[in-house]
Amino acid sequence: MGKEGYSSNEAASKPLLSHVIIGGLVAMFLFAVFWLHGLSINENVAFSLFLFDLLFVFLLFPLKGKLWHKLALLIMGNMVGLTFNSLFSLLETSDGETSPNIFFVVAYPVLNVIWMVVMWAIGLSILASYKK
Amino acid sequence: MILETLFLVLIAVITAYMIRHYIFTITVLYTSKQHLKPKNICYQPKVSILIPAKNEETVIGRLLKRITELTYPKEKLEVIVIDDASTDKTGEIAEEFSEKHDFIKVIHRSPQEGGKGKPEALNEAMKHVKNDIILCFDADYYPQRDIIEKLVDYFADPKVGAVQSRVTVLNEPENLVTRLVALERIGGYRVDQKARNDLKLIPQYGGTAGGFRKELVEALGGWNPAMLAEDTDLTFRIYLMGYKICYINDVECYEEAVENWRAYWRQRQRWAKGHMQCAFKYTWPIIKSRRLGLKEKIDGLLVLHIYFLPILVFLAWILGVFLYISNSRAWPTIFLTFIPLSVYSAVGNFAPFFEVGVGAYLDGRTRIFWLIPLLALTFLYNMAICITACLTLCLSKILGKRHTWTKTFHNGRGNGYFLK
Repeated sequence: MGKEGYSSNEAASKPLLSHVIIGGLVAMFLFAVFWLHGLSINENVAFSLFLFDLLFVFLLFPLKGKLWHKLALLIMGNMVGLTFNSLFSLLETSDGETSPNIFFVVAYPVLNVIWMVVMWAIGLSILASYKK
Repeated sequence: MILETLFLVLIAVITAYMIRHYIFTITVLYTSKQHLKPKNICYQPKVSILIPAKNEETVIGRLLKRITELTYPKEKLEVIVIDDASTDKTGEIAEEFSEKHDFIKVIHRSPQEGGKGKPEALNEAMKHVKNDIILCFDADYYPQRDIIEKLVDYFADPKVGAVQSRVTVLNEPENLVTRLVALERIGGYRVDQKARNDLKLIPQYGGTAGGFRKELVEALGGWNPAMLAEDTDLTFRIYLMGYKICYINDVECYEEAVENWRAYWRQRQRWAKGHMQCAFKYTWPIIKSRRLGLKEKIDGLLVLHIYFLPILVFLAWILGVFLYISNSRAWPTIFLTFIPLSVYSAVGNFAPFFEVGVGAYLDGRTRIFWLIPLLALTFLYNMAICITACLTLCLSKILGKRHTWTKTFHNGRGNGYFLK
């Protein structure tokens, strides 16, 4: 550990890279399933889910914890995101396809991030119990 | 077309910060990088401790008592309390300790000469300092007993110009504000500062709970009283002189965090203004510096301009909404999702929610994660703080007005946590 003649003061905890790989594959699989089944995946939804998966897979999957717990959380997060986006996209236009809804434009991104952060925080709090 | 380009530029800048924080989080999670220090060397030089204090009667006694309990040999210690024109019992309390302990000295500044801010108080103290290594503590701080030996170890390396310990919030359970500040501190120190240290970027000297070489500050001509963030100022001057700063994560010092939104506003506005002053002052010197490598320059510029980030996020948000409404185009909404995410990414000390979360996880915390979604509150507040700070700074530049130092009030409620 460390350079010769120098000491380090923090122990390493090995990241679970196998979990990251499996998590990444499952995230891609979910994405493909949503897409193929024609579930309301537009650019916004795709981008939101991509961000969520990126943060979830690379930051939570390497942590200590059971793989199936992480996968369940990932799937649950994707479902929540998809449901949220589907419901919210109903508010996208106020009168048909012409004029944009101000509420949608301003509130949608904020609320969209909140589910992401909440799901991520729930995941982390569950994984933190393993550390104890 | 111009507005669309501007929008994309703003998004690119915000993305750069996001990626930076993502890399930091990954670094701390995936690597076991450590603070390298000389092995088997007992380096115990004479050390001076500076404690600037103005109206700190509620907390100064706690810190001075702790100073007397430090494990570092007292014959190698010199403690200088700068009673900076206090109107309460700060000076008397410090004098009581000075009478009992030879290594504690008190400098009293009159209302005519003192009370103008921390940089001036430190400049005054520098006239009395005898030792080569100087540590600095704010009056509301409470260090670990062995903090000095752990910090000064790193000065055995002649390239180290300053060291910084980790700051943890003492009064965290007090209320929502203190809890959110505690979260910010976890992200800012446990992950952000540590990653910057491990990646050999630009870890910052925080102005307190850290130390520096006397010769360095003397060579730099002391602290600049016009700067509101004397710590950031010193940080960049140290790097530009070719020295480095070490952040040591396992050395902790407790602080008493602000307990209400008003105090939060005042403190953060001073930080924002000070940081922006440094950004104006050091951007060009960093770009043309031959002593800094490319990655240090990039990180240095990102650190320097971080208090402009909430303003950029605000502009991007407005612009995105405008583009969507005026052109009825869908593509800005994609990025609009990204903007609030960066809202969470620019909280307080500008540690993103995932950085805060991972920091709390590494600290072994379990319940604090439920507060993470609420970090949006502090960001929205910081957005207003930074916009106001920027406007005030520009206005005072135009009018030629000098900025005044706003002192953070400490009520000493943190003392209760030691009595429990």
